Amino acid sequence: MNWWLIANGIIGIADVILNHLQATAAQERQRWENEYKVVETQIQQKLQEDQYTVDFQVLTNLHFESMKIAGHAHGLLEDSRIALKAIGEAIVETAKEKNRLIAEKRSISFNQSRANALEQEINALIGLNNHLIPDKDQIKIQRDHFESQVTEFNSRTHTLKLAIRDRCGEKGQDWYKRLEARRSINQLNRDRAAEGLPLLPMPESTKSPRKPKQTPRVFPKIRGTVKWFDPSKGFGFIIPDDRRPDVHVNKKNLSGIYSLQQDDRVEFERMIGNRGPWARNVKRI
Amino acid sequence: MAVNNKIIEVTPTGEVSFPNDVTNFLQALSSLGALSPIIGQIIAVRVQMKQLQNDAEEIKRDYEARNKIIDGAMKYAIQQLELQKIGMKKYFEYASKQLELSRIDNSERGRVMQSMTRLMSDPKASIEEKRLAQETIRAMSSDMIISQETGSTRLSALIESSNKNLLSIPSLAGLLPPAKQ
Repeated sequence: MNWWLIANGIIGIADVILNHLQATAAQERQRWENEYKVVETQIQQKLQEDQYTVDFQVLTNLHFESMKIAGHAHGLLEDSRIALKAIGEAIVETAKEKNRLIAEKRSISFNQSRANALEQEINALIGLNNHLIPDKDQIKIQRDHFESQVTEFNSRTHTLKLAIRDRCGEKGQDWYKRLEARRSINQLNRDRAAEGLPLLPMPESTKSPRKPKQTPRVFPKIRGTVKWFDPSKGFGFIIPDDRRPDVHVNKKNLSGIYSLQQDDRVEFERMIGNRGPWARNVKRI
Repeated sequence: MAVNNKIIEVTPTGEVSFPNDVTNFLQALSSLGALSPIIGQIIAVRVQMKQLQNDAEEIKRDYEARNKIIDGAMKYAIQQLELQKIGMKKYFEYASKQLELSRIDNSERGRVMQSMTRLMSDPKASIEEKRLAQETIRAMSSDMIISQETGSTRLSALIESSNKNLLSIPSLAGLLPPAKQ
């Protein structure tokens, strides 16, 4: 009977302990799950930020390239228009001059030598127009080509601009705002220049934020003892005081000294190369 | 044998000078600044070379008409043509070196063409100047096409490079189609 009571008691206690453990485990699991969610969110955020950064770099580079191409095509288009205007005028004037000479030739038909000279001039003008007309057609083809490139690359630049705004997080939105502000000021300045007014300066807020200057990397100074150094070969090894592996030293990395001897105490910067650690800026102490 | 008036004198050593007054022509080239004398000389040498070709053809016709007999006058004319050819070759070598570092853009060419177009119908201009104006228009027109073609080649290279960058980024698929060159 006693045994039965004891056994029941033990079972009851075990049950309580088990319940307690289960509750604790559930709490722990909940805590762990919450932490996991937090960490996962942080990782996702970091990944998203990284993706934004990558997209931003890629898209802004493409935007810059696209603008450059549109600008180049626009310059060529303007050149074609200048060429077309100049060639067109030359064709018209050549034809007028030719007609004038033809009329003159008709009026002086009794003067053979003058008529021959006029004939030569007329032929030269016909030759010139025969040269200019295909040139004009060629330039027209080039103009149409450049016009389509300008349209295409202006549209591409616009698409990229919107993609940077919408796909690159805050960085992209900030870039877009600055770009639009610069564009408005440039437009205002174009109008002011046309009116002969002084140009407005570009506000600092529209410029790209400057990257902080990178401070040069400083390597900690390590102390150690020369294990051996062969002056004829120009290299040796140092045993560092921090008990890490021996460091190779070459004479070209000695600073203010020309050679080393065994057991010299030295100070140096430890670098890691393909063949293991090596010492730079080695000074005797 | 009728030989045309000389537009420009060229010595066998490649020195050049204008025998006639071509002030109007040089004035019409003045928008090219320091380059205008050399461009004027090149145009004149080109016109002169065309004249030489015509003269050579006339000599050939004369030679055939006289049953292939070369007399003293004809021999002298052939020698003179040969000397001028040598001088012009030397001049072109010198001129191409002078122009190597210079660049004329299409807006300058356009301005020159407009001046030359006016000169072509100017009653004050001499016949030589008109011929020079025509040759300048012809040369500037051809140069404009060459300049546009060079620009077009550079544009194609830029587009090709941009397309490569675009296609190398899968995340941008569908955002932009590759541009036509």
